[in-house]
Amino acid sequence: MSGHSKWATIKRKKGAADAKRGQVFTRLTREIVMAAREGGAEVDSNFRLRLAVEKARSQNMPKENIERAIKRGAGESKDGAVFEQIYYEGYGPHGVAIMIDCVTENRNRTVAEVRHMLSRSGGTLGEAGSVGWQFNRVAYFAIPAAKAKFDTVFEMSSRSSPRWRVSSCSAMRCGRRKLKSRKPNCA
Amino acid sequence: MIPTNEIELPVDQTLQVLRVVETIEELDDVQNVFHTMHISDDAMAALESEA
Repeated sequence: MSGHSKWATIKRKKGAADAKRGQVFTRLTREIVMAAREGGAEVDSNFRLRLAVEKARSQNMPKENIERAIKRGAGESKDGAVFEQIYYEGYGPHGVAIMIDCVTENRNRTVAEVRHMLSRSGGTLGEAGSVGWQFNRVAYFAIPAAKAKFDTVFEMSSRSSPRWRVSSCSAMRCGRRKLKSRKPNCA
Repeated sequence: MIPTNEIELPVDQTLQVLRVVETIEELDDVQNVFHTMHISDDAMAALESEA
């Protein structure tokens, strides 16, 4: 779409890229805020926060943004909005059950948006619990295949708990509750 | 979140559901979307050829 002005081209490309990145950052920020609020602002003692921060770093989120988000979650910042996490459950087209994990400061807005999207596509938003039973909450480990022997990983998983499953040569799953007691082994 | 039971759908319907999931993911307040659909290899191939 080049006319005479290069800025017009850049603007179009950069604008789209920036909007996308902004959206990713919003999402990452909220995850950090939630993590910090639940487990405190210490990255060392808060596993969920550490995970969220690592994820944010891998997306090149600026350090100030991360720190601000942690402060906000820990309640050190005066920024008013209080976020809460909710799961919305419903059915998409063709009877596919859908769970939507939301973090919002305004439930009413979120539920309206989600319901709108679902009903527009021929789905419905259900009651809490109407869909949740079709899912299991699991922990997920991805282990670089290059660094681990398949046998070692398999042995570890089968020894830890019968609930663990090796789903491919480099990843395994286990029940969420088991994770806490097994953490030292697999950290 | 892992579904205990996955639903198999024909390729075109799979793509349709995926598109819906994508629009939901794009909402600002949404963190994650989980669904109970099995994405078959054929659907995966169709998706890649589309992109």
